[in-house]
Amino acid sequence: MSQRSITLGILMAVAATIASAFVHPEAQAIPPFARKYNVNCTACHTAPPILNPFGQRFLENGYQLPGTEDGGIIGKKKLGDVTLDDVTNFVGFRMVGNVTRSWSFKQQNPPGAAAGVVQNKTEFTFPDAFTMFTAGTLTKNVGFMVELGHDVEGGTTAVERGFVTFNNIGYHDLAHVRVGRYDPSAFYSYVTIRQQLNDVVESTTSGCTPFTPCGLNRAGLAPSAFAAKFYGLYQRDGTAISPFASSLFNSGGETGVDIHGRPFGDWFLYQVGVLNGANEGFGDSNKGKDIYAMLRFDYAKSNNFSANISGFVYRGYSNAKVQSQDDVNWNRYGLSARATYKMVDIYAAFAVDKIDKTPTAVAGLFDSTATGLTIGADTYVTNKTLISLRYDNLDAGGMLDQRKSATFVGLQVKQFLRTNIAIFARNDFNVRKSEGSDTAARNLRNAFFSGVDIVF
Amino acid sequence: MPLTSLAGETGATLVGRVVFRGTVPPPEVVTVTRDPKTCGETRTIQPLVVHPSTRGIQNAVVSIEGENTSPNTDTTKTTAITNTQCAFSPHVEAIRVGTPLEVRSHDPVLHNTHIMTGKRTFLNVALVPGGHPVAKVIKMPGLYHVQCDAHVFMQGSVVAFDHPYYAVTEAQGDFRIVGVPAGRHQVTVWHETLGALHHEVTVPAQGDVSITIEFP
Amino acid sequence: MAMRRRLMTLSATILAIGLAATTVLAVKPEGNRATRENGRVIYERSCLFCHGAEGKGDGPAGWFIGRYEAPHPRDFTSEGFKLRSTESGSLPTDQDLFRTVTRGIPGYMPSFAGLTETERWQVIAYVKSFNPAFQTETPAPLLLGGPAPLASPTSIETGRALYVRFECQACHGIDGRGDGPVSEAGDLKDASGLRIFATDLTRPLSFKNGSSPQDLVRTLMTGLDGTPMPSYAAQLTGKEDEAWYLAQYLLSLSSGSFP
Ligand code: HEC
Ligand code: HEC
Repeated sequence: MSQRSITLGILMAVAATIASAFVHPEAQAIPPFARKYNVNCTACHTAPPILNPFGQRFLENGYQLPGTEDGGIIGKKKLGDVTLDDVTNFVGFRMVGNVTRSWSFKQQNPPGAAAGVVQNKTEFTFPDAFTMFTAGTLTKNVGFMVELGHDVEGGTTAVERGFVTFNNIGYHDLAHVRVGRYDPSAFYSYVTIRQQLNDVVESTTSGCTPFTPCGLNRAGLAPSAFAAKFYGLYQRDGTAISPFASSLFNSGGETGVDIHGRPFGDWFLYQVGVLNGANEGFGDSNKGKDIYAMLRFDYAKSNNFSANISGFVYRGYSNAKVQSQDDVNWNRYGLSARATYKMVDIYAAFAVDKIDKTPTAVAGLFDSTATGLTIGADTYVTNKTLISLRYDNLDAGGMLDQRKSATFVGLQVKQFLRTNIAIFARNDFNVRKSEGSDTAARNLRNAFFSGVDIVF
Repeated sequence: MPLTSLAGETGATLVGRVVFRGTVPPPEVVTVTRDPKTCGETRTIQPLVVHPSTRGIQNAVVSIEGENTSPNTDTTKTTAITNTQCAFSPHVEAIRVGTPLEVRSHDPVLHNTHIMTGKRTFLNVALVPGGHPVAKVIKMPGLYHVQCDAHVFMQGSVVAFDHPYYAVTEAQGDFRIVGVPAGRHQVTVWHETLGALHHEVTVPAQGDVSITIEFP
Repeated sequence: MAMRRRLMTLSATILAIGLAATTVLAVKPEGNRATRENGRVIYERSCLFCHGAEGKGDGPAGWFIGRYEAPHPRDFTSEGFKLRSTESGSLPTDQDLFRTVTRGIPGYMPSFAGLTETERWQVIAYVKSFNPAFQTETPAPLLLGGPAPLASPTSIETGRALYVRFECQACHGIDGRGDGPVSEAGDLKDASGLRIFATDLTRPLSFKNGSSPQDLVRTLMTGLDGTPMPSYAAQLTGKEDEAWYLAQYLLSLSSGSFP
């Protein structure tokens, strides 16, 4: 590791420690729901942002305590005399800053260097990701959530999620409806947006033009089960779809309508939904909608143990293009499972992606099936130290001349200085070899991150 | 000192000694961080007290599984645990269900006498210097753990019985239980670190029975 | 800082008033089988995740609450209760349980005021069925003194002297910040043997048993069973004023100035 990145890492840790020392315990901030119910994060989270079974039921019930319809009661008395103090009670922020050090097998034609020269890189980003969210209930059985994400590097702010929920329609737990831009996988055994190891976006060559492959300088680090998996897929407007970006059922936010509930008692959760369509510009209604259905089985009774398994089918309609050819239907079939016992939380997801028919122009040049497997585990070794491990295997599909499968193992140690401020160190290793060729996805040998994660 | 049975009682008298043949583990020495003036600079904790010549174990509780369990009718008797020089005196107490257990302190520092049965609190009271003693009737038989949270090295036990056939061994390991009905009985010995031991004994209609019970 | 503290106390007071309003009771259903059965349905939806199917405090989300430290959700089958109006070692009254379910436990258990009062009584009837001692014991509330005297600089000063004489600082620290030597040493354990720390008394909103003067007097009289926090009833019975002064002193720790 270079001297500089060590220094930066230490600086960040020191900054976080100093920042935390200034937080008066009384003001020790906890995000909106914890503040609203006056409980610690651990009431709902195993390790934020991952939910425990109680937190999951709270989410399912549209931000109302399980078994209640308290949306019109709790926290409402504070709206009588709204002061700045009170408003902050209902808004949360999350900020993640990183120092990254990546080691490459080979860098493709680095500028000013002869081909095949190894180039290692340090990047310093602070904050790397900044999100602001507010959520709550408007009245009994009506909840809302808005999350703004700010991409510091790109300088853009966007509504990542924003939706309204209508709960307990018919009778208790029969049907809950979400309308807006939401995360379809929110109730899945392994939720796309709730990860200990944050997604690291791949680095692409600049100046990509529509319907031409965009070169990858460095592979992205994201759960393979959720990834797009195909090389050579484009959005209908020609923007290349990154094989590492989460998509379909596992996209972080899609616009649509979603219904879930547990009408058959506590064992089964159903979910069905219609989306405007993955990879579709808003207002582009030239195609059919995407639909999905999920069924989840839960066991959660006692002995500090819980387990669940869920499966889904996602049918996309004309939701991508292969090269500049016809629209194709891109479908996904997924299975995931999770078990927690005391300090151990283990989860896995497997997804098969299929393009329903290969355009004749690329026949024989295109693999229409791709799979991704992700296995993860988190465990608290002390009350303040969380260790996370993740294994990813992407058997990529798509254009045979571009596609590259990838296997990564990530390990992270997170130390909580306070309940809402943590510093972390993480390393992701490429399990596969460089294969000698100059393929960018195989270029990354390993990457080290150190940073701070603040929620308030 | 041989113990003599009380004349005139009905039933027999069971006398005996609980002995320990093994090697006694060395005591634990803890440094006192609080109130050293009262508690001393260090404390030597030895829960297994064995008499050097008789090998008798002090503070073992001997009891006979009672056939005719009966609640205590004599409520005038009180059993007391006193906090003195940062220790519970007595360290081990046996008590009949229905008897008030009194806790008090002679020390010039704060103690809290915290008594639990299993995970349930029986009593947790602060005893401030010059404050009042506290008494509470024991209603359930079983083992009660006594501790002081302000001084972690202060530990003690109370064993409650719903019959009168029990005794705590003395310094030489001796005990005596009077008025034992005739017949075969199961004698139980309990010690805080050695655990429980059972022993069969046949008691005549009248007279003394003498037994020796050996740990381990 | 003083400003923020004043605001906190103010909101604490508002909270207390709000809660007082919620304890006006609906007709309490009879503790029969049907009530318990209704209670079971509510329990399995709302409480099971933390307290476990058999009430042993081992629900699937329970371990994460305190992790390696106290508290874990209450084991209703074998543990005593912290939040009572009854003497040390006694079970709580139904009213005590109702208060707990309605207010929740700051930090650890959310308020279930979202259940109707009838539903709360039903779930309480079910919770009580986990421990047979509720059948045999009849918990009686302690008398918690007469009307509260007005707080004044002298009453608070008397309270401070009592705090020192009762050696609250052993656990809570001389400034009440929960940093007394016994607590700092990490020696304190709860009934399950989990490490527990003395409460930071400058943060009344975190008090499990409530933070009104009445609530504080109750805490001092009863203690919190299953924790090292002892009952001071023997020292305070017959000296109700002293209990009030001590409570006033505790509240002054967070207001930063005399009221
Ligand atoms: C998010 C987890 C959670 C949920 C849900 C929950 N509890 Fe609790 N409960 C706790 C914890 C943790 C404690 C122990 C707190 C402590 O000891 O400081 C507790 C303690 C209690 C106590 C004992 C208070 C005392 O005096 O010691 C009662 C009674 C109780 N809960 C009832 C309920 C009921 C009834 C429900 C459902 C309506 C419920 N709880 C739901 C976490 C929960
Ligand atoms: C032996 C240690 C000890 C002593 C002595 C002690 N406390 Fe505590 N106290 C505790 C612990 C531990 C808790 C935390 C209990 C919990 O979190 O469940 C506590 C909690 C409290 C609380 C908060 C209760 C609540 O509602 O959450 C108050 C108020 C309090 N103590 C006041 C006092 C006062 C006043 C004194 C002196 C008269 C005192 N304590 C003496 C250990 C102690």
